[in-house]
Amino acid sequence: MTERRRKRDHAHLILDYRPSEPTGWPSPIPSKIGKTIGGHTSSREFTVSGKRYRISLMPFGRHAPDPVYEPVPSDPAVDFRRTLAGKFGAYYSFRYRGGLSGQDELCVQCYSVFAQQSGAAFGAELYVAYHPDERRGDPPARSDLKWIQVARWAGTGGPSPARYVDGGARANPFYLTGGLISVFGTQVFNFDNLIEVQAPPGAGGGAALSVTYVAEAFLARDTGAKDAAGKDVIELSGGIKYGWQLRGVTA
Amino acid sequence: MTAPRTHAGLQISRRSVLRGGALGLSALGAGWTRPAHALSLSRAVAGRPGQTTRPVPCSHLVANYQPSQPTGWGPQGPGTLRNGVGVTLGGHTASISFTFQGTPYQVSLLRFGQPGNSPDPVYEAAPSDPAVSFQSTLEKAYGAYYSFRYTGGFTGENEISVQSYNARAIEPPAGSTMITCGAELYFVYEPDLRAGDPPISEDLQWIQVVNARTADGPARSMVDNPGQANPYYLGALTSIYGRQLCNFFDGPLTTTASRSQITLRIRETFETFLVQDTGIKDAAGKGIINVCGGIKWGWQVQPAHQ
Repeated sequence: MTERRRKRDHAHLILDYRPSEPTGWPSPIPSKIGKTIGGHTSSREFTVSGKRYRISLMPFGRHAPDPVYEPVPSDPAVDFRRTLAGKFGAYYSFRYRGGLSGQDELCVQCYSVFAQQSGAAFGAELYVAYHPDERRGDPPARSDLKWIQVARWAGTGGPSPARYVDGGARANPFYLTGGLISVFGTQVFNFDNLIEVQAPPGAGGGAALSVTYVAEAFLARDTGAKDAAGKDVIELSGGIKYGWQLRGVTA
Repeated sequence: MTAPRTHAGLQISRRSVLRGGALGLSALGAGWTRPAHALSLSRAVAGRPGQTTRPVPCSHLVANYQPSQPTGWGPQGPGTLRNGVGVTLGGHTASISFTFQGTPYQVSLLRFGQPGNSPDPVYEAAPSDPAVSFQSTLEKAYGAYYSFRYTGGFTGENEISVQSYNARAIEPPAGSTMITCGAELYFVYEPDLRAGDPPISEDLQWIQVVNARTADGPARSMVDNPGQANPYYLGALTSIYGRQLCNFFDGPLTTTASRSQITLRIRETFETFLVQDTGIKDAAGKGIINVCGGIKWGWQVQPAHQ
């Protein structure tokens, strides 16, 4: 189920699903330019080791499985604030501004699951462009503005611990494939998360595969200022919640 | 790109798994990394994991070798992940001797005309290596979208602080007949603002062009970016435990499988330049990129008797 539509989810998030487009970030295949998988494919079925599975986007209680705008992190399973403070609170002071102040800032251009019918690979991608409403006080799209993502992977084959700051094994909490970047000569500010899972025969060790992935990604400005305790002050504005799940399909 | 294998047999990869290191989600997968084991090697120039500061006959580059430290970026191969964070190897190991298929070899840092056996990277006001052919390689790959303006180098002093620069040879897993060699480089950009160097608050990036010659084919040059819609090396502005900085971290590694009639002759030369993405378009609609100062560095493997 692939569709292209443009609609306003609410004041801050635009759904503008587009065909595959370059992201500015590295490609899984270095010889090819990194592009989104494109569109809005909400579910796919495939077979692994003779078992039928469905990967689908999370609806979060809504009719359509689109990402959800959040002024502050709120998902109890992700536990954004505590997870972030637990990992980086010794070095950074996180200030939550209560959301974006303009309109239509987050443009969702790809939110899709994918799967090879052979089951050898499956996954999902979210790609969002940020267009600040600076007159109303949104943080400008500059190099000091970044993303912080906290995710929870529950089920088969996930990382440990299940909740984690998705910072790429770095000495800071910032998400790697997001921020100010250039695409063929034009600067853009975006966010790209492509996850591909390889499931060779025997994956799961005979047990049924089951995955629930939920993430909250927030705009975060590294102010460069220090608080009284000497910690670097980071201001978090609005963000999005999204995710996908993998379940067995019963006949 | 090596995808981690989790305990359940799934391999999870993503766009941010790069440069031989595991970043993002994959870095959290348990048990895929293993500690670096030194080869049964001899170091022709002793590695110095401690701090050494040595002036280099150049006003823009300082050899300031430090112990292993966090980089603000992900790991660059074995030995550069500590407590879940990417770190340098630290120090300055100029060469390592090893034996492969009964033949003694040496992996060493390139001298570029420097005397002695402990070469540093070399500062360049503009790209100049004829083999790398930085300008033409960059123009060919990205000239349709970007206009590159060469500013003629840095205007201040001591902007490039080289803190880790090492030749590397990595022991293969038990039973394997492969050899992995390469180098590691980490330096910090410290602008001389009063003299007009670009401040790190601006949109700074690195562009790196590499000329690689392996045992299996002719040398060729390419922009060192893994399939991006821009010429940038991933990594310039970052934060290390609350401290903002602009730095560069790379750890090129080449693995060669054992087979008959092979002689290891590998050489990789890099030119790495600080650039400013101005965000401005020229009259032709191309994004204007100012290319500031940079460095040349590299490594090679050859039979030890040469």
